[in-house]
This record gives sequence, structure tokens and C-alpha cells, in this order.
Amino acid sequence: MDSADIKLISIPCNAPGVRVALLDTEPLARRELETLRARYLSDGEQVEWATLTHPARQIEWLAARVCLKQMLVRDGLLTDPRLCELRKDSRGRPWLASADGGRLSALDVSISHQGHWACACVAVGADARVGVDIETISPRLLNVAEMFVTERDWPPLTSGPEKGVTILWTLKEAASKAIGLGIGVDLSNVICRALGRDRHEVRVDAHRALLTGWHFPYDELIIAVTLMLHGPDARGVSSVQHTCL
Amino acid sequence: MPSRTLTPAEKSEIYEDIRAFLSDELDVPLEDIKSESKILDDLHGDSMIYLELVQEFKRKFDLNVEVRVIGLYFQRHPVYTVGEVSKAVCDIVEHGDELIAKVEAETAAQNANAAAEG
Repeated sequence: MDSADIKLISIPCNAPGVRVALLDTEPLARRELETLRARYLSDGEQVEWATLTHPARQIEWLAARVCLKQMLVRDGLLTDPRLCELRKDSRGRPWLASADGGRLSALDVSISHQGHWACACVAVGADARVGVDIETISPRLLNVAEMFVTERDWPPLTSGPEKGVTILWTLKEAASKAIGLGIGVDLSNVICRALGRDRHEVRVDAHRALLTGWHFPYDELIIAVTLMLHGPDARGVSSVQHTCL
Repeated sequence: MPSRTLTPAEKSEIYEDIRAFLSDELDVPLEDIKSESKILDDLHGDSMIYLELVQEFKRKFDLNVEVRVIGLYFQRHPVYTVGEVSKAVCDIVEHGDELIAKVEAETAAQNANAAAEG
């Protein structure tokens, strides 16, 4: 199997320096997992993959890395997928390491998966922090909506509650990923305000964080991306040199 | 909300209820759900399952504890395994809105110990 066989779906995100891609894992499940592992995973990732016991978890774990690395290869940011690996910090926030273990600080990454979909997002720029989340539009979220939807979110959920709740959930999850808040964070403290048809302001007062968010419907999914520019030079991401392995 | 004390039997019941909930929701055989099972990696759960669990036990115990308090608790006590979730639910049931005061007292004690050792 060649890496060109992997068909990514590009999500048209116009955030500066941000690329988003989806991968349908249904065909992957039928492929030779061993081939994909050998082609895309570093030695360290091979070891980690072997510790996963749930078959579906193994596939989504692998698919998210394949999606991310194939996007980096496609965009000329990476030459060999095995020469970098996705690691996670103590709060579960992912970061890219080079073969020598150093951090690729000019690339910020985030991954998500839902059902048979895997999603990856990369922001090019040392000052950028990005988060991505995908979720199927379904009634499931309505049962827990009171735990994360607040009257401060705008617009209020007056129509199409399933889709509206899914947009809010994914934006808030994506923001918590961008900041690195970990699982179980109080998402009612993450406030969303629509700025346009698909653009949002996402505020996390407890962390003095202000992010820009976008949501994209695809199939039965909502994909949300949030971007935060921080650090002493937050002018943007375009001036930062790309790192290519 | 006043504090209450759960008996060992009640804590065990909560643990078993959590296992049954996860078994139903994630379609995993009950015998595969152990205290050390990681909800995301071993049971193929997602972040929404944590909210659903809390919601389930808020209803079951008729708790009015604020979501903000639960969120703060989870930030200070990250939970990944079934056993950690069970302890968190027991803490929420026992301490309710006083949970944060408990966590802050624990943190202060840890800092004091660290300072004394340092």
C-alpha cells in the first residue's frame, strides 16, 4: 500500500496557517493494519499501539495518526511519517516530536475521532495553539446539554437543537483541547458567541483565553476548529519558518 | 448541600453501578470492566461519557451540585480509569458543593508537606 492510497478529505478552513483533514476509517479497517503501522508509525508509536487492547480503539488511534501524518506529507511539512511521532502531555494535549525526541515547536496539532471518522488539524506557527473536535449530530448530546450550554452562549438554541447543541459541544471541546484543559473540564465556563455563519468567538475566562472558532458540517458530522495565538509575538503564523523532516 | 458519608457497601454499589452503566453504554462485557480499565483507551469511551456518568448519578442521588464545582474537581483530580471515576462520584455524592473546599484543603496540606520536606 502506498501513502497515496490514503484518501484525505480536506476541510476548507480559512484560519491562517491551519489545515484540517478527515479520514474515513471504514476502508482502513479492511486494509492490512500491519502495513499501515509499518508505513506511518515511529518505533515509539509502534510500542504504544501494542498496549491498546480494544480493537476499535486501535483502529481510531492509528487512523488519527495516519490522517495527521498524511496531511503533513501532502502539504510538504513532512517527508517520512515514521520520522515524527505524536506524543501527549500530562493533560492529554498532543504534540509532535522528531525522531531525536525534540519538539517540533513550529507545528501545533490536534486530533479527534468519532465513529468511523478520524480528523486531524495542524497549525503552522510557533505561537499558534489549535484544537479540533468532531461529533455526530444526534440526540445523545441533548441529554447532557444542561451541563455545558449556558444562557451566555449566543445565539440561544431556539431552533434545530440537535445541530446547535452539537456545534456548541464541538467548539467547546475544541477550545478545551487548544488550551489543554484535559477531560472533565467545566464546559459551561467556555462561552461561544457566533461572529458569522460559521465563525465564532470562544472565551474561557478562567484561563483568560480568547479563541477564534469555526464549525463545518460534513455528512452527519460537525467539525469544529479553534485557534489561539499567544506568546510574545502573536502577530500571526505566516512569518514562521516551516519545519520539514 | 450538606456532606454525607457513604458506607463501604454504598461505595461498592456505586462502583458496580458505574461498571454496569459503562457496559451498557459502551457495549463492553461487564467482566472486561475493571477498576484499572482506562475509559478512553481500554473501553473505547469518549469525553461525553464522563458527562453522562455525572448526569446519571446527579439524578440517582438527587444532587444539586453545580457543574462548575464538578468541573473544577475534575481539573484537580483528572480521572482516566473506572476506579478513579468511582472515587470521583463518591466524592461528589459525599461532599457536593463543598467539594472544592475539600480539594483546596488537600492541596494546602500537600503544599505544606512539600515545604516541610524541602
